[in-house]
Amino acid sequence: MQSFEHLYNSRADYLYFMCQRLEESETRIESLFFDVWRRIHRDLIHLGEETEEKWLCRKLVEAHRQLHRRAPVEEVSTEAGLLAAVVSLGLEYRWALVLRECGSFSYLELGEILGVPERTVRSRIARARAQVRRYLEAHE
Amino acid sequence: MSLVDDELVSAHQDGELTREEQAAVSGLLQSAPEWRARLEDFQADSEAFRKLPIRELSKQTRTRVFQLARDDAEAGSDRRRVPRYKRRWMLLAAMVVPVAFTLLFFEYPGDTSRLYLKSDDLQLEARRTVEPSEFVQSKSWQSPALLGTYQADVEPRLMIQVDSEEPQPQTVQVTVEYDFNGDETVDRTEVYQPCKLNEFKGWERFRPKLQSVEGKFGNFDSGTVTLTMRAAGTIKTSGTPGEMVLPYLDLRSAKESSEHS
Repeated sequence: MQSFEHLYNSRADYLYFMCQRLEESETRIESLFFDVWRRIHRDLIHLGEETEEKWLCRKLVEAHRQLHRRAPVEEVSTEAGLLAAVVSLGLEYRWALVLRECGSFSYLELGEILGVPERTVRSRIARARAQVRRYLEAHE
Repeated sequence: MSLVDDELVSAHQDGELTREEQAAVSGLLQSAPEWRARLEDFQADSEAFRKLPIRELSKQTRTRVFQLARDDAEAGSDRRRVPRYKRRWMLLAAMVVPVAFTLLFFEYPGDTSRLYLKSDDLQLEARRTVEPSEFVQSKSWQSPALLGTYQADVEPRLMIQVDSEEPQPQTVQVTVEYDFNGDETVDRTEVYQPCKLNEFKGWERFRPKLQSVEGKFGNFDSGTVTLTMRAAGTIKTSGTPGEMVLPYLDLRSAKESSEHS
């Protein structure tokens, strides 16, 4: 089994990058990053049941869901910009889009990470892209 | 554009279309300017999203992560390796499964009756014996006293799960004896075809067919069913080593039935 330190050294930048694409405010990015590593530390014994990248992204999604339950975003962002548009998406759509764009997972792999059928992933990504486009056009 | 159109354009961008869809979308992208424009917008957004600026991780963040991990470990978070949602499901399953099991077995009069071989449960009382016969080992399970009405249109079925404890293949044979009125005489005997176990480690499941039958079925009136598994070597059985489907309507425990009434 990999050590926590080794995993952190090799994957911290990747997960920090993902956190910066899922959340906009610095506070929430930091919270998410800490939460996901605490979760990884707790569940490290289960690493190896699937590929490392998929497992880490599953932990990221779990931590993100937990963060939103614990501290939901009360105000919807009205700022212009692509990141604001992505952060305005519902969580299911945001995960599908961000993991696809930044993680380069196939729809099948995304379905396994998110626990939904491949067809649902395809639909969520398309809806997310269309919604981002609408947001950007409305804020031009 | 409609959602379906967006879905096709989006999946085309990701190379996730089927061959037929790909052919159709490629044609549309050549002939319909709005489809081309939509694809270009999606592609541009994706490209821009990936190129958004990234902040670097600080050493302080690393220190904080390791501190939190240490704190969690000291606080005994190791005990919570099973995630909370899983623990909730496990707890729920632990409560629901025995209830459902009991209800299925005793409360549905229309359900085909089944007896489950258990080491020490209410379905069948264990009475494991080693008989001085030509068989190296035998194991028996006997039901509690039963009440039930014979249902002629259902075939009895048997499933067993066993494994050889020896490194060579061996044979297991099952005999089922029915005493319908509890007078300790056998009213019906079913002998099932022998099951050949392989030499490999791991449970093997069998649904043996009837080889011979003596006696007829009758209604259960405080009677019992006894299943005996005989092997020419040592065998092992799991916690629930088998299941019998019996041609009875409303099969129930005589003891529980008298308690309820």
